[in-house]
Amino acid sequence: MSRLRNYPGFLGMTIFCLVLLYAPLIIVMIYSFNESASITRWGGFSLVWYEDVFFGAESAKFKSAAWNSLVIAVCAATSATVIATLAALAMLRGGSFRGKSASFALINLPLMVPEIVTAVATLIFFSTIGFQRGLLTILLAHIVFCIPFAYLPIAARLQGIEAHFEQAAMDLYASRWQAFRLVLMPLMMPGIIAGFLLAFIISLDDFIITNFVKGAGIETLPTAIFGAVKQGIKPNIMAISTLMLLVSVVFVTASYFVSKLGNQNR
Amino acid sequence: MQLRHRLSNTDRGGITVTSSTKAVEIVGVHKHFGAGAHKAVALDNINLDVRDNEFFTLLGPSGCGKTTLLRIIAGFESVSDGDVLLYGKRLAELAPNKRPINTVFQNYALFPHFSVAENVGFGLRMLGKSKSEIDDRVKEMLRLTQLQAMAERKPSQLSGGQQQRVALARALAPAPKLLLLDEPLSALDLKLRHQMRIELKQIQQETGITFVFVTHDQDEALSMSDRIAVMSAGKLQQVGTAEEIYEAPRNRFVADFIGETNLIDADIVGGTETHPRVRIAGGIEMDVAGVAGGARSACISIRPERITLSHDGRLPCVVDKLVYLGTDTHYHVRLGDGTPMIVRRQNGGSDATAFRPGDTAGVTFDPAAIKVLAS
Amino acid sequence: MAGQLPSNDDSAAFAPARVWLMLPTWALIGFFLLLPVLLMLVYSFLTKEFRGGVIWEFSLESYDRFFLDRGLFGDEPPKIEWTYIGIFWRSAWQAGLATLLCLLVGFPTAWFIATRPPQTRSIWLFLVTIPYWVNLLIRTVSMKFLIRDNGPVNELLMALGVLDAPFTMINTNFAVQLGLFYSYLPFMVLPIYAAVERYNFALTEAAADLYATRWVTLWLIVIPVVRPGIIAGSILVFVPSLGAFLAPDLLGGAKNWMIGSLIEDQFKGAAGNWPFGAAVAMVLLSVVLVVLFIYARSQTRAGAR
Repeated sequence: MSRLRNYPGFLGMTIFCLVLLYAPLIIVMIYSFNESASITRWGGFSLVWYEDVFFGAESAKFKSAAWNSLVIAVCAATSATVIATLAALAMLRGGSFRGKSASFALINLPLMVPEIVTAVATLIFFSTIGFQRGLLTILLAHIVFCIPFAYLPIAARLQGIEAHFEQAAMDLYASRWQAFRLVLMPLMMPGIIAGFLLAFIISLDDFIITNFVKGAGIETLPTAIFGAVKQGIKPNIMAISTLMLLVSVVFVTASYFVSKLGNQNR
Repeated sequence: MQLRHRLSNTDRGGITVTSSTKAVEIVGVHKHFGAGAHKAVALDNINLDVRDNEFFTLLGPSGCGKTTLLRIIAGFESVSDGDVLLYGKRLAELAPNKRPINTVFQNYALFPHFSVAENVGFGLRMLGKSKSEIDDRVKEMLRLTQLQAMAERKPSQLSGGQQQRVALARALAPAPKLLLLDEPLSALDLKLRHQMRIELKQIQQETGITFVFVTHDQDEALSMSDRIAVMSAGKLQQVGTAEEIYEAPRNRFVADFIGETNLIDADIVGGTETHPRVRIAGGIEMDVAGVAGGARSACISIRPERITLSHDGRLPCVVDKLVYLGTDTHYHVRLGDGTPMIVRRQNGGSDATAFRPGDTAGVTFDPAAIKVLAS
Repeated sequence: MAGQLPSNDDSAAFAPARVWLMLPTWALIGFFLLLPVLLMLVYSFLTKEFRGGVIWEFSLESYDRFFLDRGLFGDEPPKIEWTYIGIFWRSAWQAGLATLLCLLVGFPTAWFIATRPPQTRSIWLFLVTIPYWVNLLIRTVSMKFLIRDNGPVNELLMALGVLDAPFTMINTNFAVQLGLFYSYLPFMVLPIYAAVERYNFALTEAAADLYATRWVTLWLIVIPVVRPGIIAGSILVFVPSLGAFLAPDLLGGAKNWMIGSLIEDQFKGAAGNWPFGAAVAMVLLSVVLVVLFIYARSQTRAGAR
C-alpha cells in the first residue's frame, strides 16, 4: 500500500536533487541566447553567439577541436566495442580458465584507477618510449579507458542470454560461427549498441586524460573549452555548451530506446 | 489456551477481545483497481463473518480476490467501499502497524539480515517489550515451532520448511488477535505440506488464535478448516464447514471446484419445490433434494465415488477409458445419450469386476447422491 | 558483478577461442595502462631533472619530500611535512563530505523514483540520467557561471533583498564542495535506485505487520537490505571526488587545492617535478586501491553468507 512506501520529504528531496542538477545547465542554456556580449546583463533573445561559434573569429579553432573529438570518439568507441565484445564472449562463454579473475580485474582496471592517475601514467609512458604525442596517443588512451564502459552493457546482455539458444542453433546443424552470427550476435545487439553509445560519450566527454596526453597544438572540444574558460566565461562558450548538452540528450534518448527495444525482443 | 493471555496487548489499536463471537466482520466490501475503462473489480460486495477462535479458510482459484481480501484485513490495501471490523471495531483508519493482526506472507518475507531469533522477536521489539520478555517469548515460539536449534541462523541458511516455521513463529510471537496466512504452504514440497497441515491445525488449537487462511488448494482447505469461504471472480460463492461445502455445494462453481464431480444437465419433470423430480440422460427419473425454483431444467452434481459401475447397472453406458490412480481407478464412461461421466472405484477388489475400454456396463446411484445446483 | 558467472559446460561454447578473444584486451590494457602504472611507480623513485623529465638514478627524494620536512636547506632533523598530507587530508575530507551529502539527497531521490508507478518511474529516471551523461567540464563551468560574484545566484539574492552585496562563493572550499556534490550526485542515485528496485516490498509489509513504524522500517529493514547499493554509490562518489581536478581547479581557484591539482601542477603547471608528481599519484592510487579492496572484501563476505 502506498502509505508504506511514501516518506514525507522524499518528494521534496527529489525535486531539490533535480533542481540542483538542472539549474546550472538551464541557466547557461538561457544565457547562450543572450544578445549582449556581457554575461551578466540580459540584452534580449538572439542567436548571435551560435553564429559566432560557427563563423566567428574562434570558429576555426572550435571546428578543428570538434572534428578531432568526433574522429577520436568514433574510432575509440568502435575499437573498444569490438574488443569488449570479444572479451565478453571469452569471459561469459569461454568456460573457466586460468587467469579469468585476473582478466576480469584487468578489464575493470581503467574504472578502478583514478582518472588523473591514468593520465599521469600514460603521459610518463609515452614520453619514456619516445612516442610522439598527438592524435594517436589520445586515441590509444581513449580506447583503453573506454573498454570497461563498453564491456559492462555487453556482458550484462550476454549474461541474460541463455546458452540454449546457441545450442539449439547448433542442434539444427549451424556451425559455431553461424550460431554466433545468426543467433547470438543479433541477441547481443542491444548490449553492443548500448556499449558503443556509452563508450562514445565517455570518449567525447573526457578532459583530464586528453589534457595530459595530447600533443602541443592539438585540441579536442573539452580541452579547447577548458582553455577558453581559463580566460573567462564568454557567451560563445555557453553556446558550445548548449550544443554539447543537446548531443548528450540525444544520446541518452537513443540508448534509452535501444535498451527498451532490447527488452521487448527478449 | 494458556498462550493467548500470556501477553497483554490491549494497547494495540485499543481492541480487546469481548464476549462477541465474531472476530472479523466484513460488511459490503468492494474493491476495484484502476478507473474508467481499465477498472478491474477485485472484490464485489463481500459479506462475511469469521468467528472467534476459528480456523477460517478463503478458498478459490488464483485471481478470485482472496488475497486482496486478506490484504485488506491486514491493512495493505484499502477498501473501495464497505467496512471491516475486528471484534466490533472498524479497521479502516488503523494503519497496518497498529492492527493486532499478524500475517504469514506467501514467500515468508523473512528479514534476510536478521537471525531467526531476531526475526521472531521483531514484532515484540516494535511493541517496546522488555528484552527479557522478548527472549522468553522467542524461546517459547521457537519451541512451539521446533526451531530451538536454529535461533542464531540467518534465514538463507534454512530449508524451505524451516523458513516457513520461522514466518509462523514471527507472526505468532506478538500474540495477535488474528493471524492471516497467505498461501503459506505453497512453496513446500508435498510431504512437508501434509505434515505442516497437521502442525498448523495443532498450533491453532494450542494458541486459540483465530486463523484466516488463504489457499487455492482444496485439500488444504478441507483438511484444516473449521469453516471455508469459497470465492470466485471477486464474489463469495458459499460459506460453510468442509462437509457442507463438499456434500451440499450451492452452485455449479462450488461443486466443480471442490473435489471432482459429474455435472450433468437434467430435466425437471415434476415433484415439489423442495423435492423436484429429475430425469437424467433421457432415462431414469428420481426424486431428489434441492431447490428447483420452478425451472424446467437444472444442473445436477453427482460425486464419482457415489456412483457404482456394474454389469447390471440401471443406466447403460460404455467404458471409454480408465485412469489408474493408485488407491482407486477412474472410469470414464458414456451414457446412452452421450453424456460423459466419471466413476471412481476403489482398487484392491478382484480383477473379475474390472472393466476394459469398450466394455458395456451400467451405472447406478442413490437419489441422495444427487444435488440440484443453483445456476 | 557482470562477468563472474560460475562456469559450466553450457557456457563454454567459445572455450577453444578464448585466448584469441581475450588477447586484444590483455594487450591494450596491459600495455597502455598496467605497464604505464608500473612505470609511474618506477618514476616516483627517480631523480628529477630540471625541466620536466627525469634522470635514471634511484632516489627516495620524492617520498621524502612528500612526508618529511628537513628545513629550507635540507640539513635540519626531519619533521613531518604537513603541506602535502594536509592537501590529502582536505581532499579526503571534501570527498567524504560530498559522499555524505550525495547520500542524504540521493537516497530519498532513489527511493522516491523506485516507488513510482512504472510509467512515471521511467520519466523520473530519465531526468536523473541526463545530467549523468552531460560533459563534466560543461557542468562544472555552468556551476562556476551560476555562483560567481555577479552571477545569477547573487543577482537573484540581491534582487530579492536577501543580500546587499554579492556573497563570495567562487574560489572557496564551499564552491569546491558544491562542485563535487553536484558533479557526482547522479553516481549516488543510480546504484541506490537499482538496489531499491530489487527490494522486496513484502519485507516492508512484514515489518508494518509486526508493528514497526515507517521510519523504524526504513532504518532497521530497508537500509540494511539495500546497503550494497548504498556502498556502491558511496564508492562511485568518493573515489572520483578524491582525485577530482576540475572542481578544485575551476571552482576552488589557487588556494583550495586538492590532490588532483597538486599532481597536475607537477606535470602541466609551474612545478615541473615528474618524480614527485608520480609519487603523489602513487599515494593517491594506494589510498583508492585500499578503499576498493575493503569494498571487495565486504562484498565477498556478503556473498558467502
